[in-house]
Amino acid sequence: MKALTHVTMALAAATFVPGVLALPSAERSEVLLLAAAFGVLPDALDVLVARFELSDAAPNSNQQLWSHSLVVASGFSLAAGGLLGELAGWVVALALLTHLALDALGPRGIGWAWPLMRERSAGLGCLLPDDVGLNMLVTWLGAGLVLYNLSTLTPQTLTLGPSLLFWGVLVPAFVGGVRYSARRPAAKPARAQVDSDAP
Amino acid sequence: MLILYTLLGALGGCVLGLVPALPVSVMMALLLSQPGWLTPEQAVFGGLGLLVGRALSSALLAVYQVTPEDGTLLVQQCARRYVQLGLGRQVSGWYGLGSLGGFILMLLMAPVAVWVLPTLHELIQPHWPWLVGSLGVLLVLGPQIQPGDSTGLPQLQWRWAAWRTGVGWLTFGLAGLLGLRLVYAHPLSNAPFSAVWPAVVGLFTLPTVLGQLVSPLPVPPQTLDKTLNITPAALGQGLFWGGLSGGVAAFFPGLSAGVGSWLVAQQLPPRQAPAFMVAQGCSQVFATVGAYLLLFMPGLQLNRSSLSTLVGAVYTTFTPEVFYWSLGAMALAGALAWGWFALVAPLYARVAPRLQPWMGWLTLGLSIGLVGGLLGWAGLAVLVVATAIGLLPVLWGAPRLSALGVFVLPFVLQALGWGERLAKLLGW
Repeated sequence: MKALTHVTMALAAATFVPGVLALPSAERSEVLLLAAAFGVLPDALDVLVARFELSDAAPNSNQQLWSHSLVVASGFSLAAGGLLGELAGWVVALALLTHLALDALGPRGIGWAWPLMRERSAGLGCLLPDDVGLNMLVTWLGAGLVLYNLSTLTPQTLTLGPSLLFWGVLVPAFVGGVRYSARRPAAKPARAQVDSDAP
Repeated sequence: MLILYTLLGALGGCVLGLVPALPVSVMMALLLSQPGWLTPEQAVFGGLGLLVGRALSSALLAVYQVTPEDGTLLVQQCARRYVQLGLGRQVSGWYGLGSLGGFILMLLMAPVAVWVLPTLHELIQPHWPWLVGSLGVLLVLGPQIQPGDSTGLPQLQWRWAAWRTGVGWLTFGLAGLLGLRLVYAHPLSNAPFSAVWPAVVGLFTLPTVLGQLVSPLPVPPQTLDKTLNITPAALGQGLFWGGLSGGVAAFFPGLSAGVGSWLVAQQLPPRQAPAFMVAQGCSQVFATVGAYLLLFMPGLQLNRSSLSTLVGAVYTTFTPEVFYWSLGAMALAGALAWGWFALVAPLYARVAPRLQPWMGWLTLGLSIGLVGGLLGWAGLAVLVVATAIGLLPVLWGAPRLSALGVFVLPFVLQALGWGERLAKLLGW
C-alpha cells in the first residue's frame, strides 16, 4: 500500500492503545509521531538499506523480506519499549503489525518468518496495493477511526462517536468494499507487483 | 457593491495570475499600504476575487512556463511531458476542470461544513502537533520510498539514489531551520507580508527558473484540440482526493497549498495524469480560497492564510451574512474566472512557445525586484539562502517538495515545545 495509507492506519491503530490519547500533549505527540514513523518504516528500510547493499543481486530482491518480518518488528517494539516506555513499545508494535497485515493482504507477500524462512510467503491477493481507489478508501477509514477515538475523549464530543463510526467508517467501508470487490481485476502474480509509487 | 468588488478582484486575479512570482498576499499588502485606496469591505471581497481569479489563471504559467510555486511544482513536473508532446491545452483543461469542480464542491459542501467544521475543529484542535507532525514524518520518509524505481540499476546508480535520499532529508532539515529562523528571529518583522514569502520564492520558484535558464527546454507548438479525454471515474477520483487534500492543507494550521498538492500525489500518481491534474486544480482551490473562507465561517473564524491575516487586521465584523455573501460572491467570481480561463487558455497555448525564452528572465527579475524593492537587503538575504537550499534537490535529483519543511518543521517543533529550545541553542 502507499505510504500515506500505512501512516493513517498506523495512527488509527495507535489511538486504540489504552492510555495513549490520555497522555499530556507533548508526550502524546511524541508517541503518536513514533507510530507514524514506524507505520512507514518497513518500506523505508527496504529502499534505504537495500541501497547500501554490497551484493550484486537485483537491488530489490530482498524487498518485503527481512524488513517485513515479525522478528524484526518484535525487535523494534522491544527496543522502543525498553528505551521509551511500555506504551511506546505497544504503539510501535501495533504500527508495524498494521503495516505487515496490510501488505500481507496484497499479492506480493511478505517475509513473516525471516530469518527462519528466507522466502516471502505468498500474499493473500485480496488487495491490490497500487489501486488508487482502494488506498483512498483505507486512508479514509483510518482517518475515520482516528476521529472516532478522539471523540471519546471529552464529554462534549462523546455523542459524536456513534455517528462518526457509522457515517465515517462503517458506511464507507461497506460501500467502498462492495464497489472494490465488483471491479477488482484479478490479482497479479506474486512478486511481480511494484508496491508503491509515492512521488 | 460587494459582488462588484469580488468580480473586479477576480478579473485582476486572472490578469495578475499570469505574472510570475506575485502572490495575492503581496498584491493585497501593496493595496492596503496605500491609505484610502481600499475600504475594509473592498479588501475582504476584492481579496476573495483575487484569490479565485489567480487560482485558475496561474495554472497556465505552471503548465507552460517553468515558474512554479510550492502549490504548482508538481503540476509543472507532470505537465512538462504533455507540453513537449503538444498537449498543453489538454493538461491545462484538466487543471481548470478540477478548479471549477473545487468551486462547485465548496458551494455544495458549505451548508454541511458550517455544521461539521466547528465541531471537527473542537475535536482535533488539541491534537494538531501530532497530526501535522505525522505529515512531516511522511514528508521525510514517504517520498523516499519508491520500491521498483531503481530495479535493475547498476550498483553505482543505486548508491547515487541513496545520496539523493540523503539530500532530500538535508533539504527538509535546512528548509525547516530557515522557517524556524523566520519564526523566532525574523529579519523582516516589520514587513506586512507573509513571513515566508521570500523563502517560498527562493525554495520553489527560483531553483526551477535557474535550471531552465541554464538548460532551456523550449515549448513546442501546441495542438489546439478541444477534447479533454477524461473518464468520469478519473474526474470523480480527482475531485474527491483533491478536495480532501486541499481541505487538509486549508484546515490544518501551519500548512500551505504545497502540502495539499503533495498530499494529492501521495495517492494519485502523476502517471494517471487526468485524475492527478483534476485533483491538483481542486486542491489548489480548497487550499487557497477555502482557507480564506474559513475566516468568515460562523463559529470558526480560522486564520489560515497570509491574506486572512492582512484582511483580518482591517475587517472584524464577521457575521453569518458575510459568510453567505462571500460564498455567493465566490460562485460568481468562479464563473467569471472559468470564462476567462476558457477564453485565454487556447490563446496562451498559441503564444506559450514565443513567451518561453524570456519568461525565465522575467520571473528572475520580478522575484529579485519585488523582494528587494519591498523587503530590502534583509529580504534579498532570505531569498539567496532559500534559493541555495532549494537548489540542493534540483542539483541532486532529490524530491523537491522536501523543502516544504519550511512550513511543517517550525510548526511541529513549536507545538512540541522544542522550537524555542532549539532557537536558543542556535543563538536566535
